[in-house]
Amino acid sequence: MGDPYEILGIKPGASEAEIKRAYRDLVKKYHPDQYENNPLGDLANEKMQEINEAYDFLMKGGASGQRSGARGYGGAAAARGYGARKQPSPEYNEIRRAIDRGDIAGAEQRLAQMQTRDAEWHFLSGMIQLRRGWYDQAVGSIQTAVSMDPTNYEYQNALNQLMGQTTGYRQNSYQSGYNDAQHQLCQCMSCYCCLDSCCDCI
Amino acid sequence: MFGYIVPAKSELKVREFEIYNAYYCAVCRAVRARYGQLPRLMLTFDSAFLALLLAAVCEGEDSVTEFRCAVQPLRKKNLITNGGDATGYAADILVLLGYSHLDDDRRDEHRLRGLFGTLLYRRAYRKAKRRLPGKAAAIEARIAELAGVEGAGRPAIDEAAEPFAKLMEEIMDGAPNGDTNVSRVLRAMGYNLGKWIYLIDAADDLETDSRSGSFNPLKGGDYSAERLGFTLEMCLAETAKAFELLRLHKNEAILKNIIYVGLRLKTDEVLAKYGRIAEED
Repeated sequence: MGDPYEILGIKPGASEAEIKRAYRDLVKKYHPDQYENNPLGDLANEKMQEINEAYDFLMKGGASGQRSGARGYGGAAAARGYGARKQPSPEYNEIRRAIDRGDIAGAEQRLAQMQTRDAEWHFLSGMIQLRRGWYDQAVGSIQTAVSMDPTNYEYQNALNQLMGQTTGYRQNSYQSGYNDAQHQLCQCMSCYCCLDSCCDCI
Repeated sequence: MFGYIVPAKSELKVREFEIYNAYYCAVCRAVRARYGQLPRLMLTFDSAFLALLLAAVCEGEDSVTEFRCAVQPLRKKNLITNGGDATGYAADILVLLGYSHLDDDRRDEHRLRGLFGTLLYRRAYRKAKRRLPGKAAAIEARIAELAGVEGAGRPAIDEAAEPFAKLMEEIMDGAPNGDTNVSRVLRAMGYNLGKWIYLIDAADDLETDSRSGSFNPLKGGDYSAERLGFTLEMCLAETAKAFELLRLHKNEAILKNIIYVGLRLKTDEVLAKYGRIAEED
Protein backbone atom coordinates (compact mmCIF):
# COMPACT_ATOMS: atom_id res chain seq x y z
CA MET A 1 0.00 0.00 0.00
CA GLY A 2 1.15 3.54 -0.78
CA ASP A 3 1.17 6.43 1.66
CA PRO A 4 -2.29 6.31 3.28
CA TYR A 5 -2.35 10.09 3.77
CA GLU A 6 -1.60 10.65 0.12
CA ILE A 7 -4.27 8.16 -0.91
CA LEU A 8 -6.87 9.98 1.16
CA GLY A 9 -5.54 13.34 0.00
CA ILE A 10 -4.86 14.71 3.48
CA LYS A 11 -1.86 16.04 5.37
CA PRO A 12 0.06 13.70 7.68
CA GLY A 13 -1.21 14.15 11.19
CA ALA A 14 -4.75 15.02 10.12
CA SER A 15 -7.36 14.68 12.84
CA GLU A 16 -9.78 11.79 12.98
CA ALA A 17 -12.60 14.04 11.84
CA GLU A 18 -10.57 15.15 8.83
CA ILE A 19 -9.74 11.58 7.93
CA LYS A 20 -13.39 10.61 8.16
CA ARG A 21 -14.49 13.54 6.03
CA ALA A 22 -11.88 12.81 3.36
CA TYR A 23 -12.86 9.15 3.40
CA ARG A 24 -16.54 9.92 3.05
CA ASP A 25 -15.93 12.23 0.08
CA LEU A 26 -13.77 9.67 -1.68
CA VAL A 27 -16.26 6.88 -1.11
CA LYS A 28 -18.93 9.05 -2.68
CA LYS A 29 -16.72 9.65 -5.68
CA TYR A 30 -15.57 6.08 -6.34
CA HIS A 31 -18.61 4.18 -5.12
CA PRO A 32 -19.53 1.20 -7.34
CA ASP A 33 -22.87 2.91 -8.02
CA GLN A 34 -21.03 5.71 -9.76
CA TYR A 35 -19.24 3.29 -12.05
CA GLU A 36 -22.05 0.91 -12.80
CA ASN A 37 -22.19 0.22 -16.53
CA ASN A 38 -18.82 1.88 -16.85
CA PRO A 39 -16.09 0.00 -18.72
CA LEU A 40 -13.61 1.27 -16.11
CA GLY A 41 -15.60 -0.18 -13.20
CA ASP A 42 -12.78 -2.57 -12.25
CA LEU A 43 -10.33 0.32 -11.86
CA ALA A 44 -12.79 2.19 -9.66
CA ASN A 45 -13.05 -0.94 -7.48
CA GLU A 46 -9.29 -1.10 -7.12
CA LYS A 47 -9.33 2.53 -6.09
CA MET A 48 -12.06 1.85 -3.53
CA GLN A 49 -10.04 -0.99 -2.08
CA GLU A 50 -6.99 1.22 -1.80
CA ILE A 51 -9.03 3.91 -0.06
CA ASN A 52 -10.57 1.40 2.34
CA GLU A 53 -7.17 0.01 3.22
CA ALA A 54 -5.71 3.45 3.79
CA TYR A 55 -8.66 4.41 5.97
CA ASP A 56 -8.45 1.21 8.01
CA PHE A 57 -4.73 1.69 8.47
CA LEU A 58 -5.09 5.27 9.71
CA MET A 59 -8.04 4.58 11.95
CA LYS A 60 -6.34 1.56 13.51
CA GLY A 61 -3.14 3.45 14.22
CA GLY A 62 -4.89 6.76 14.89
CA ALA A 63 -4.76 8.75 18.14
CA SER A 64 -7.86 7.09 19.45
CA GLY A 65 -6.24 3.71 18.99
CA GLN A 66 -9.50 2.08 18.17
CA ARG A 67 -10.71 0.81 14.93
CA SER A 68 -13.76 2.40 13.53
CA GLY A 69 -15.62 -0.67 12.47
CA ALA A 70 -18.65 0.97 10.96
CA ARG A 71 -17.29 1.32 7.50
CA GLY A 72 -19.99 -0.44 5.66
CA TYR A 73 -18.82 0.23 2.13
CA GLY A 74 -17.98 -2.96 0.32
CA GLY A 75 -14.70 -2.36 -1.39
CA ALA A 76 -14.70 -5.58 -3.31
CA ALA A 77 -17.35 -4.31 -5.64
CA ALA A 78 -20.73 -5.39 -4.57
CA ALA A 79 -20.68 -6.99 -7.99
CA ARG A 80 -24.34 -6.75 -8.67
CA GLY A 81 -24.54 -6.90 -12.38
CA TYR A 82 -27.68 -7.98 -14.13
CA GLY A 83 -27.31 -11.58 -13.17
CA ALA A 84 -29.61 -14.24 -14.46
CA ARG A 85 -33.24 -13.59 -13.59
CA LYS A 86 -36.41 -15.49 -14.01
CA GLN A 87 -36.64 -15.04 -17.72
CA PRO A 88 -39.02 -16.67 -20.08
CA SER A 89 -36.14 -17.09 -22.48
CA PRO A 90 -32.77 -18.63 -21.62
CA GLU A 91 -31.36 -16.52 -24.45
CA TYR A 92 -31.88 -13.35 -22.41
CA ASN A 93 -30.05 -14.88 -19.48
CA GLU A 94 -27.10 -15.58 -21.74
CA ILE A 95 -27.11 -11.99 -22.95
CA ARG A 96 -27.24 -10.62 -19.41
CA ARG A 97 -24.31 -12.80 -18.46
CA ALA A 98 -22.35 -11.62 -21.49
CA ILE A 99 -22.95 -7.96 -20.49
CA ASP A 100 -21.79 -8.75 -16.96
CA ARG A 101 -18.61 -10.29 -18.31
CA GLY A 102 -18.01 -7.18 -20.38
CA ASP A 103 -18.47 -9.09 -23.62
CA ILE A 104 -20.43 -6.30 -25.26
CA ALA A 105 -19.85 -7.41 -28.84
CA GLY A 106 -21.05 -10.94 -28.01
CA ALA A 107 -24.14 -9.65 -26.24
CA GLU A 108 -24.94 -7.37 -29.14
CA GLN A 109 -24.62 -10.17 -31.65
CA ARG A 110 -26.94 -12.48 -29.71
CA LEU A 111 -29.46 -9.71 -29.29
CA ALA A 112 -29.47 -8.92 -32.99
CA GLN A 113 -30.28 -12.56 -33.78
CA MET A 114 -33.41 -12.61 -31.63
CA GLN A 115 -36.80 -12.61 -33.28
CA THR A 116 -38.90 -10.95 -30.60
CA ARG A 117 -38.69 -7.26 -29.86
CA ASP A 118 -40.26 -7.11 -26.40
CA ALA A 119 -39.55 -4.84 -23.44
CA GLU A 120 -36.61 -6.95 -22.26
CA TRP A 121 -35.06 -6.79 -25.71
CA HIS A 122 -35.21 -2.99 -25.72
CA PHE A 123 -33.92 -2.82 -22.17
CA LEU A 124 -30.88 -4.94 -22.93
CA SER A 125 -30.24 -2.98 -26.14
CA GLY A 126 -30.24 0.14 -24.00
CA MET A 127 -27.75 -1.36 -21.57
CA ILE A 128 -25.42 -2.30 -24.41
CA GLN A 129 -25.70 1.15 -25.98
CA LEU A 130 -24.93 2.71 -22.63
CA ARG A 131 -21.78 0.63 -22.31
CA ARG A 132 -20.64 1.74 -25.74
CA GLY A 133 -21.21 5.39 -24.95
CA TRP A 134 -24.29 5.79 -27.16
CA TYR A 135 -26.14 7.74 -24.51
CA ASP A 136 -28.87 9.24 -26.68
CA GLN A 137 -29.94 5.87 -28.06
CA ALA A 138 -29.65 4.23 -24.64
CA VAL A 139 -32.22 6.65 -23.23
CA GLY A 140 -34.53 5.94 -26.16
CA SER A 141 -34.28 2.15 -25.79
CA ILE A 142 -34.82 2.12 -22.05
CA GLN A 143 -37.74 4.51 -22.39
CA THR A 144 -39.27 2.12 -24.91
CA ALA A 145 -38.77 -0.76 -22.48
CA VAL A 146 -40.46 1.22 -19.70
CA SER A 147 -43.43 2.18 -21.86
CA MET A 148 -43.89 -1.43 -23.02
CA ASP A 149 -43.74 -2.76 -19.47
CA PRO A 150 -44.51 0.11 -17.07
CA THR A 151 -44.72 -2.15 -14.02
CA ASN A 152 -41.16 -3.42 -14.34
CA TYR A 153 -39.22 -1.95 -11.48
CA GLU A 154 -35.83 -2.77 -12.95
CA TYR A 155 -36.42 -0.83 -16.17
CA GLN A 156 -37.83 2.19 -14.39
CA ASN A 157 -34.97 2.13 -11.95
CA ALA A 158 -32.37 1.94 -14.72
CA LEU A 159 -33.97 4.90 -16.48
CA ASN A 160 -34.01 7.00 -13.33
CA GLN A 161 -30.43 6.12 -12.63
CA LEU A 162 -29.34 7.02 -16.13
CA MET A 163 -31.09 10.38 -16.03
CA GLY A 164 -29.36 11.10 -12.73
CA GLN A 165 -25.89 10.12 -13.96
CA THR A 166 -24.79 13.67 -14.61
CA THR A 167 -25.78 15.20 -11.28
CA GLY A 168 -22.46 14.28 -9.68
CA TYR A 169 -20.59 16.10 -12.40
CA ARG A 170 -22.86 19.15 -12.16
CA GLN A 171 -22.46 19.35 -8.39
CA ASN A 172 -18.72 19.11 -8.63
CA SER A 173 -18.73 21.71 -11.36
CA TYR A 174 -20.79 24.19 -9.36
CA GLN A 175 -18.71 23.63 -6.27
CA SER A 176 -15.50 24.35 -8.06
CA GLY A 177 -16.76 27.26 -10.11
CA TYR A 178 -19.01 30.24 -10.24
CA ASN A 179 -22.57 30.05 -11.36
CA ASP A 180 -23.55 31.77 -14.58
CA ALA A 181 -24.42 35.22 -13.26
CA GLN A 182 -21.08 35.43 -11.55
CA HIS A 183 -19.43 34.08 -14.64
CA GLN A 184 -20.56 37.06 -16.71
CA LEU A 185 -19.02 39.40 -14.20
CA CYS A 186 -15.86 37.33 -14.36
CA GLN A 187 -15.79 37.60 -18.11
CA CYS A 188 -15.89 41.37 -17.80
CA MET A 189 -13.11 41.15 -15.29
CA SER A 190 -10.98 38.83 -17.36
CA CYS A 191 -11.56 41.11 -20.33
CA TYR A 192 -10.24 43.90 -18.18
CA CYS A 193 -7.28 41.73 -17.19
CA CYS A 194 -6.52 40.99 -20.84
CA LEU A 195 -6.59 44.66 -21.74
CA ASP A 196 -4.45 45.33 -18.76
CA SER A 197 -1.87 42.79 -19.83
CA CYS A 198 -1.86 44.24 -23.34
CA CYS A 199 -0.97 47.63 -21.94
CA ASP A 200 1.67 45.94 -19.95
CA CYS A 201 3.39 44.59 -23.01
CA ILE A 202 3.28 47.89 -24.90
CA MET B 1 -8.44 20.53 -33.31
CA PHE B 2 -11.16 23.05 -32.66
CA GLY B 3 -10.30 25.04 -29.60
CA TYR B 4 -13.27 24.05 -27.44
CA ILE B 5 -11.23 22.58 -24.61
CA VAL B 6 -10.49 25.73 -22.66
CA PRO B 7 -10.00 26.55 -18.99
CA ALA B 8 -12.22 28.97 -17.08
CA LYS B 9 -9.50 31.57 -16.78
CA SER B 10 -11.15 33.59 -14.06
CA GLU B 11 -11.11 30.51 -11.84
CA LEU B 12 -7.41 29.78 -12.16
CA LYS B 13 -4.76 31.02 -9.81
CA VAL B 14 -2.21 33.26 -11.49
CA ARG B 15 0.44 30.59 -11.06
CA GLU B 16 -1.78 27.96 -12.64
CA PHE B 17 -2.59 30.22 -15.54
CA GLU B 18 1.10 30.78 -16.11
CA ILE B 19 1.77 27.05 -16.15
CA TYR B 20 -1.07 26.61 -18.60
CA ASN B 21 0.43 29.25 -20.88
CA ALA B 22 3.87 27.74 -20.45
CA TYR B 23 2.54 24.44 -21.81
CA TYR B 24 0.89 26.25 -24.68
CA CYS B 25 4.20 27.94 -25.50
CA ALA B 26 6.07 24.65 -25.16
CA VAL B 27 3.81 22.93 -27.71
CA CYS B 28 4.21 25.92 -30.01
CA ARG B 29 7.98 25.72 -29.67
CA ALA B 30 7.95 21.97 -30.29
CA VAL B 31 5.96 22.51 -33.49
CA ARG B 32 8.52 25.04 -34.68
CA ALA B 33 11.46 22.85 -33.81
CA ARG B 34 10.00 19.79 -35.54
CA TYR B 35 7.96 21.22 -38.39
CA GLY B 36 8.98 24.82 -38.98
CA GLN B 37 7.05 28.07 -38.68
CA LEU B 38 3.98 27.37 -40.76
CA PRO B 39 2.13 24.68 -38.80
CA ARG B 40 2.25 26.91 -35.73
CA LEU B 41 -0.73 28.72 -37.22
CA MET B 42 -2.87 25.69 -36.48
CA LEU B 43 -2.16 25.74 -32.77
CA THR B 44 -5.22 25.74 -30.50
CA PHE B 45 -5.85 25.44 -26.79
CA ASP B 46 -6.78 21.77 -27.20
CA SER B 47 -3.12 20.97 -27.80
CA ALA B 48 -2.20 22.60 -24.51
CA PHE B 49 -4.78 20.42 -22.77
CA LEU B 50 -3.38 17.26 -24.34
CA ALA B 51 0.16 18.18 -23.28
CA LEU B 52 -0.96 19.10 -19.74
CA LEU B 53 -2.80 15.82 -19.32
CA LEU B 54 -0.13 13.54 -20.70
CA ALA B 55 2.58 15.32 -18.73
CA ALA B 56 0.46 14.98 -15.57
CA VAL B 57 0.48 11.18 -15.67
CA CYS B 58 4.28 11.16 -15.84
CA GLU B 59 6.39 11.48 -12.73
CA GLY B 60 8.69 14.40 -12.10
CA GLU B 61 8.24 18.12 -11.54
CA ASP B 62 7.95 20.68 -14.31
CA SER B 63 10.86 22.95 -14.91
CA VAL B 64 9.97 26.36 -16.20
CA THR B 65 12.27 28.85 -17.92
CA GLU B 66 11.70 32.34 -19.18
CA PHE B 67 12.03 33.20 -22.85
CA ARG B 68 11.09 35.90 -25.30
CA CYS B 69 8.56 35.04 -27.95
CA ALA B 70 8.82 36.55 -31.45
CA VAL B 71 5.09 37.30 -31.38
CA GLN B 72 5.33 39.45 -28.26
CA PRO B 73 9.03 40.26 -28.02
CA LEU B 74 8.70 42.88 -25.32
CA ARG B 75 7.27 40.51 -22.80
CA LYS B 76 9.01 37.64 -21.13
CA LYS B 77 7.08 34.38 -21.19
CA ASN B 78 7.37 31.07 -19.45
CA LEU B 79 8.17 27.79 -21.10
CA ILE B 80 7.95 24.22 -19.83
CA THR B 81 11.29 22.70 -20.70
CA ASN B 82 10.96 19.13 -19.53
CA GLY B 83 7.58 18.46 -21.11
CA GLY B 84 9.61 16.49 -23.69
CA ASP B 85 7.38 13.63 -24.67
CA ALA B 86 4.06 15.20 -23.86
CA THR B 87 4.59 18.52 -25.63
CA GLY B 88 6.35 16.86 -28.56
CA TYR B 89 3.52 14.33 -28.90
CA ALA B 90 0.95 17.15 -28.80
CA ALA B 91 2.91 18.89 -31.56
CA ASP B 92 2.94 15.76 -33.74
CA ILE B 93 -0.77 15.20 -33.23
CA LEU B 94 -1.51 18.83 -34.04
CA VAL B 95 0.17 18.48 -37.43
CA LEU B 96 -1.51 15.13 -38.17
CA LEU B 97 -4.96 16.42 -37.30
CA GLY B 98 -4.51 19.82 -38.87
CA TYR B 99 -3.55 18.25 -42.17
CA SER B 100 -6.45 15.79 -42.12
CA HIS B 101 -8.77 18.69 -41.44
CA LEU B 102 -7.46 20.57 -44.47
CA ASP B 103 -7.58 17.44 -46.58
CA ASP B 104 -11.21 17.09 -45.59
CA ASP B 105 -11.81 20.71 -46.64
CA ARG B 106 -10.25 19.98 -49.99
CA ARG B 107 -12.76 17.19 -50.59
CA ASP B 108 -15.84 19.17 -49.78
CA GLU B 109 -16.90 22.76 -49.96
CA HIS B 110 -13.69 24.67 -49.30
CA ARG B 111 -11.74 23.22 -52.22
CA LEU B 112 -9.38 26.09 -52.74
CA ARG B 113 -8.50 26.64 -49.11
CA GLY B 114 -8.02 22.91 -48.65
CA LEU B 115 -5.85 22.60 -51.73
CA PHE B 116 -3.53 25.42 -50.68
CA GLY B 117 -3.43 24.16 -47.15
CA THR B 118 -2.56 20.59 -48.05
CA LEU B 119 0.16 21.74 -50.44
CA LEU B 120 1.72 23.96 -47.81
CA TYR B 121 1.52 21.42 -45.02
CA ARG B 122 2.38 18.31 -46.98
CA ARG B 123 6.00 18.16 -45.90
CA ALA B 124 5.16 18.66 -42.24
CA TYR B 125 2.50 15.98 -42.47
CA ARG B 126 4.87 13.44 -44.00
CA LYS B 127 7.32 14.09 -41.21
CA ALA B 128 4.67 13.70 -38.51
CA LYS B 129 3.50 10.51 -40.16
CA ARG B 130 7.01 9.10 -39.95
CA ARG B 131 7.09 9.91 -36.25
CA LEU B 132 3.71 8.39 -35.40
CA PRO B 133 2.83 5.97 -38.19
CA GLY B 134 0.23 4.05 -36.14
CA LYS B 135 -1.64 7.17 -35.05
CA ALA B 136 -1.48 8.64 -38.55
CA ALA B 137 -3.05 5.52 -40.04
CA ALA B 138 -5.76 5.46 -37.36
CA ILE B 139 -6.58 9.14 -37.93
CA GLU B 140 -6.81 8.65 -41.70
CA ALA B 141 -9.10 5.64 -41.24
CA ARG B 142 -11.42 7.47 -38.85
CA ILE B 143 -11.59 10.55 -41.06
CA ALA B 144 -12.60 8.29 -43.96
CA GLU B 145 -15.30 6.74 -41.73
CA LEU B 146 -16.50 10.20 -40.82
CA ALA B 147 -16.93 11.08 -44.48
CA GLY B 148 -18.80 7.79 -44.96
CA VAL B 149 -21.23 8.47 -42.10
CA GLU B 150 -21.86 12.01 -43.27
CA GLY B 151 -22.55 10.81 -46.80
CA ALA B 152 -25.19 8.35 -45.60
CA GLY B 153 -28.31 10.46 -45.31
CA ARG B 154 -29.35 11.42 -41.80
CA PRO B 155 -27.44 9.48 -39.16
CA ALA B 156 -28.47 9.66 -35.50
CA ILE B 157 -26.09 11.70 -33.34
CA ASP B 158 -24.51 8.68 -31.66
CA GLU B 159 -23.74 7.20 -35.03
CA ALA B 160 -22.49 10.45 -36.55
CA ALA B 161 -20.19 11.19 -33.63
CA GLU B 162 -18.71 7.69 -33.42
CA PRO B 163 -15.77 8.06 -35.86
CA PHE B 164 -14.59 11.29 -34.29
CA ALA B 165 -14.99 9.87 -30.79
CA LYS B 166 -12.85 6.89 -31.84
CA LEU B 167 -10.33 9.24 -33.41
CA MET B 168 -9.95 11.16 -30.16
CA GLU B 169 -9.73 7.88 -28.26
CA GLU B 170 -6.65 7.07 -30.34
CA ILE B 171 -5.11 10.52 -29.94
CA MET B 172 -5.47 10.74 -26.18
CA ASP B 173 -3.81 7.37 -25.73
CA GLY B 174 -0.33 8.84 -25.88
CA ALA B 175 1.13 8.31 -22.43
CA PRO B 176 4.78 7.42 -22.85
CA ASN B 177 5.07 4.89 -20.02
CA GLY B 178 2.81 2.29 -21.63
CA ASP B 179 0.79 1.39 -18.53
CA THR B 180 -2.29 -0.43 -19.86
CA ASN B 181 -4.62 0.87 -17.14
CA VAL B 182 -3.55 4.46 -17.75
CA SER B 183 -4.06 3.86 -21.42
CA ARG B 184 -7.58 2.50 -20.83
CA VAL B 185 -8.50 5.56 -18.79
CA LEU B 186 -7.07 7.94 -21.37
CA ARG B 187 -8.94 6.16 -24.14
CA ALA B 188 -12.23 6.43 -22.24
CA MET B 189 -11.58 10.13 -21.72
CA GLY B 190 -10.74 10.51 -25.39
CA TYR B 191 -13.89 8.75 -26.56
CA ASN B 192 -16.17 10.92 -24.46
CA LEU B 193 -14.31 14.16 -25.12
CA GLY B 194 -14.28 13.38 -28.84
CA LYS B 195 -18.00 12.85 -28.83
CA TRP B 196 -18.47 16.07 -26.90
CA ILE B 197 -16.27 18.06 -29.32
CA TYR B 198 -18.05 16.67 -32.35
CA LEU B 199 -21.50 17.50 -31.00
CA ILE B 200 -20.61 20.88 -29.51
CA ASP B 201 -19.08 21.82 -32.86
CA ALA B 202 -22.23 20.65 -34.65
CA ALA B 203 -24.44 22.67 -32.28
CA ASP B 204 -22.21 25.71 -32.60
CA ASP B 205 -22.20 25.56 -36.40
CA LEU B 206 -25.86 24.63 -36.95
CA GLU B 207 -26.84 28.12 -38.08
CA THR B 208 -24.05 28.52 -40.64
CA ASP B 209 -24.44 24.93 -41.86
CA SER B 210 -28.17 25.46 -42.37
CA ARG B 211 -27.45 28.51 -44.48
CA SER B 212 -24.69 26.92 -46.53
CA GLY B 213 -26.38 23.55 -46.84
CA SER B 214 -23.44 21.66 -45.32
CA PHE B 215 -23.88 18.42 -43.43
CA ASN B 216 -24.88 18.75 -39.81
CA PRO B 217 -26.23 15.84 -37.73
CA LEU B 218 -28.47 18.21 -35.74
CA LYS B 219 -30.43 19.41 -38.76
CA GLY B 220 -34.05 18.42 -38.98
CA GLY B 221 -35.11 19.43 -35.50
CA ASP B 222 -35.06 15.93 -33.96
CA TYR B 223 -32.92 17.05 -31.06
CA SER B 224 -34.20 19.54 -28.54
CA ALA B 225 -31.62 21.48 -26.53
CA GLU B 226 -32.57 19.35 -23.56
CA ARG B 227 -32.05 16.08 -25.38
CA LEU B 228 -28.73 17.15 -26.85
CA GLY B 229 -27.75 18.58 -23.48
CA PHE B 230 -28.16 15.18 -21.86
CA THR B 231 -25.69 13.52 -24.20
CA LEU B 232 -23.23 16.40 -23.89
CA GLU B 233 -23.37 16.24 -20.12
CA MET B 234 -23.06 12.47 -20.10
CA CYS B 235 -19.89 12.83 -22.15
CA LEU B 236 -18.49 15.30 -19.64
CA ALA B 237 -19.58 13.24 -16.65
CA GLU B 238 -17.93 10.12 -18.09
CA THR B 239 -14.80 12.07 -19.00
CA ALA B 240 -14.64 13.28 -15.41
CA LYS B 241 -15.18 9.80 -13.98
CA ALA B 242 -12.37 8.39 -16.08
CA PHE B 243 -10.15 11.34 -15.21
CA GLU B 244 -10.66 10.75 -11.49
CA LEU B 245 -9.09 7.31 -11.90
CA LEU B 246 -5.78 8.72 -13.09
CA ARG B 247 -2.89 9.11 -10.73
CA LEU B 248 -1.70 12.64 -11.41
CA HIS B 249 1.75 13.90 -10.55
CA LYS B 250 1.13 17.53 -11.48
CA ASN B 251 -1.26 19.98 -13.18
CA GLU B 252 -4.23 18.64 -11.22
CA ALA B 253 -5.89 21.99 -10.47
CA ILE B 254 -5.66 23.20 -14.07
CA LEU B 255 -7.02 19.95 -15.49
CA LYS B 256 -9.89 19.93 -13.00
CA ASN B 257 -10.63 23.53 -13.92
CA ILE B 258 -10.84 22.61 -17.60
CA ILE B 259 -12.89 19.44 -17.13
CA TYR B 260 -15.31 20.60 -14.45
CA VAL B 261 -15.65 24.30 -15.18
CA GLY B 262 -14.27 25.23 -18.60
CA LEU B 263 -16.09 22.49 -20.49
CA ARG B 264 -19.30 22.97 -18.54
CA LEU B 265 -19.40 26.71 -19.24
CA LYS B 266 -18.71 26.08 -22.92
CA THR B 267 -21.56 23.53 -22.98
CA ASP B 268 -23.99 25.97 -21.34
CA GLU B 269 -22.96 28.74 -23.70
CA VAL B 270 -23.34 26.70 -26.89
CA LEU B 271 -26.55 25.02 -25.71
CA ALA B 272 -28.18 28.38 -24.99
CA LYS B 273 -27.38 29.50 -28.52
CA TYR B 274 -28.49 26.15 -29.94
CA GLY B 275 -31.79 26.34 -28.05
CA ARG B 276 -32.60 29.67 -29.66
CA ILE B 277 -31.79 28.40 -33.17
CA ALA B 278 -33.61 25.09 -32.68
CA GLU B 279 -36.73 26.99 -31.61
CA GLU B 280 -36.69 29.18 -34.69
CA ASP B 281 -36.23 26.14 -36.92
